[in-house]
Amino acid sequence: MSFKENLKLQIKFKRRKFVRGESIPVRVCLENVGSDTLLINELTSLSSSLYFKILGKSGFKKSFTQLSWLSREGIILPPPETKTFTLSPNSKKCLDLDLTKICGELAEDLYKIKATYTSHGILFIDSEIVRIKIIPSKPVYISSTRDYLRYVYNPIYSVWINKYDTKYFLYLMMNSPNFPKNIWYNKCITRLDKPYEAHVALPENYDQGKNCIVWSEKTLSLNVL
Amino acid sequence: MEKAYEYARETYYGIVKRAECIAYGILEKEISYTIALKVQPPAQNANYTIEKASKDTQYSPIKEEVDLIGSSDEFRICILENVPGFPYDKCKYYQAYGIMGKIDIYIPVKIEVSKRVEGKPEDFIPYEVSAIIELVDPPEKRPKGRNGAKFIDSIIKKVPGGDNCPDIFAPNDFSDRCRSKGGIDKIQKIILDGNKKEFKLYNSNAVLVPIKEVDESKKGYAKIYLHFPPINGNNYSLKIKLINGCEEAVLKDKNNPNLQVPYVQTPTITIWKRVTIEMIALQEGIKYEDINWKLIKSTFSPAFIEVEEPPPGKRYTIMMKDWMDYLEKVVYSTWQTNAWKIYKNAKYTTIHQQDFGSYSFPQPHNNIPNSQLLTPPDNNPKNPNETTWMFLMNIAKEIFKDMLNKINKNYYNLISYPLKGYNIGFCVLLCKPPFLGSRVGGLHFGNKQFYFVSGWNMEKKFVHKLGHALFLTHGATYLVRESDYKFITSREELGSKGPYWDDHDSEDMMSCVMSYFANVNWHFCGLCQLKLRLYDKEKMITGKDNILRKMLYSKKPKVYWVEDVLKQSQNGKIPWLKFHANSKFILNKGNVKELRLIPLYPPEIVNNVDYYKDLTGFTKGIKGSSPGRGSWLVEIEDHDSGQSRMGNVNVTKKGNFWISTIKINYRGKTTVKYRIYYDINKFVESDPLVIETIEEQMSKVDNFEL
Repeated sequence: MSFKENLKLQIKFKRRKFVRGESIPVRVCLENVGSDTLLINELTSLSSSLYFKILGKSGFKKSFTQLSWLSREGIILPPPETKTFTLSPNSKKCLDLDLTKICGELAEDLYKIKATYTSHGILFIDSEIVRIKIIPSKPVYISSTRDYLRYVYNPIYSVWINKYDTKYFLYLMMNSPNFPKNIWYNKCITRLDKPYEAHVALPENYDQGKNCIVWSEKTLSLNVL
Repeated sequence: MEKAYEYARETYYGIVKRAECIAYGILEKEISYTIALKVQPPAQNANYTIEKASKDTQYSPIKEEVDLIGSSDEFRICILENVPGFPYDKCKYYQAYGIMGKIDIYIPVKIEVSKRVEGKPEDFIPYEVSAIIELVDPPEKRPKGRNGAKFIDSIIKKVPGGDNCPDIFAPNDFSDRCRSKGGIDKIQKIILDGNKKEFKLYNSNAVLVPIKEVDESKKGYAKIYLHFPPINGNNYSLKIKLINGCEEAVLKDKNNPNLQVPYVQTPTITIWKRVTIEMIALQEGIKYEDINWKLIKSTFSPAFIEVEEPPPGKRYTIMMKDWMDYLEKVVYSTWQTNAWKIYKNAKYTTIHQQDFGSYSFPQPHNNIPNSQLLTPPDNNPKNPNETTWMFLMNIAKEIFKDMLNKINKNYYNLISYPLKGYNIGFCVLLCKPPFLGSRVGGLHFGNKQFYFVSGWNMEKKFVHKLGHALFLTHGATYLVRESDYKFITSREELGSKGPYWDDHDSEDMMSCVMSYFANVNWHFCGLCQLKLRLYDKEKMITGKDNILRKMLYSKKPKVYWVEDVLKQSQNGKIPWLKFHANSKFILNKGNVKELRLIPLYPPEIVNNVDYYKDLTGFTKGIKGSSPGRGSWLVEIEDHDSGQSRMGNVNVTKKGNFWISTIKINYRGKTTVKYRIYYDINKFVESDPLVIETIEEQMSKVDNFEL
């Protein structure tokens, strides 16, 4: 019996439409559908056992491993460690990833996405193909932290507001300190009734586990998120 | 010219049998010469040294003028070459940054001719004689064993003549001085006059050097320049004789004036390069003597590279207090600051000594709150800057900066410049592992900086890192063990990309120190050595004679189709690659059979590492390397249509691997071969893999092997 028949790889998107540059969260699940316990290469956010193939309607065609974002950071990667884990019958291992971080900013287009899990250089399990759409953003406001004493290895935090139809959405964005063009995180935080001057008040770091965004709606009230 | 001769007329009598004979003769007063070939130590700021070694002694720079004639010492010219440039092509990089000019040196030499008449010194008259200088290419001594020498010997012999670098392998800047097929190096380009102009050729391998100057001691002399191609391992000897007009002048041995010699000859002069270690910083507890420099040096010496240890004044020990200061400045000023403030308290000094006695970072301790936060991870998905690898890199940079800028302000910044920072050697940090079980071995992080951790096989890590810095690429980096045949395969993964197929000797890749699996007899393979010597690998691989291409991968590969199956191991079933030869399948109309194919190259026969090579990646060529030379050939006898045609194998990159697949949707016979091309028409070809597909009703056989 082929090993492939024992494993199933699924990719799930909560939404199929994303604003350009926005995080594209994807859940990847590897499921053991056979009756044997399998010992296979680890599936974690820093393993190189998973990759995505992306085809754009306008001709974009590229493949990205989970570690592709590190090469865009200019980081010299050490030899990868090949660890294994056991996957019992009918159990699954899931991983939540951000395609924008892995693949970089995708231009406005329709895309076909397929994930492939590899193990031992032998096994290649493909997921089904999923289509997503990237739509243009309409930023109406952006603010970045202006901490000139910022430690150079910490990411750059920004908040920005995107106008979609007549609605306003507040995003928190985290960019690489090595190459600020690289987006590490860019998620919609809340919907606003109108644009406000929002600011990242306290960047997240290892001593302060949470960051927060502040903005003033009226003269005397301060909203903290 | 005639003044140089003095004649005496004498008559001799003798009796031959009964007849008396009178013989008249002219006896020349014996005029003889001795030759000296004098070299001076180069100026202080020169980027090379002239060194000599007596039997059983090390090379040492000459400190005063030396006469090369009659010396029993071996000589070498050692040219400084502190040029890092990974991952670029060495020769192209050297050409782009003007390095070729920097290493191309002219060595001033004085040919001194002393004249003696009847054994007594006489004044030399300008142009009295001319020297004929001939170039000799002495055979290179190559040690036996698995050390790359056999490969070098074989490839050099493919271009008959001497064993110096032939012009077809030399960088363009120097090829006009190098030997062509059947010949030896071009003397007219190597021996130049005082104005660096060519002398007249005496014959194809000798120049005519007129001795036209006379010095204060009335000796004749000529100033010449030796302009050897700066290719490591090239060796030379100069053979000199004198002529007067068309006749050979009497030449005497300088040390034995009664001995007439046909010519005088210099000892062997070999071209070497010097790579210097500018400084080394050692975390307290690591002794400088712990590093086996002899091993490091002996790995580079077959490539004629002298790795020079840092001078005693630049071997810095970073005491625990200073190491903690660096940690505070570089790591904990913004990362885990509060935990560090608690940890660094003087009351925990004993724990500090314990931690830094074995590791480079603080370790978890129950009695120190939050100390478990202070050991960085090897990998960090949230912020790749905050890992052991990157922190150690930043600490190393900070140390190098502090130490180099002590010598000269902004000295550290110069190391990034190939020419401005040419004289600055490599900077090395040797520290302890970050924690027990850390995977950090070392990191070369651009130009001349790298660090490595103490412990097992650290010299190998050092050599591998310095090899990268000196333009060498990876050999084998990924091994498939769970397979009927264990094999290495291409892996396109960032820092561990490899193998660069045509950058290594295909019969000696596994024990090349640039492979990850070189644990047996590790050394630089022959091709790595040639690259280190400044042979132009791109010319060697693309050159018209295909010499290198014929030598690499000259054995016959074997093609299999493979399937992944389940195999029981201790902790569960693992994927296992099963290899199949010729096979027959049932394939009904409308069905498609997709098979993965692997072309396996025979193993190198090295103890413990007898692995095959999966040449799939050789078809496309690894990104950034030479284009692939492998190719699939598919012949189809399609019984459905009754026609014969050519088919194709699909070679795609899946993640970090290259995979070959074939789709069969017809009944008939498919013959698959794998070819390794030397040029458009020449190749070595595998035996055919035959796949037959038949209709179910024609036969009741299930999948079986023929």
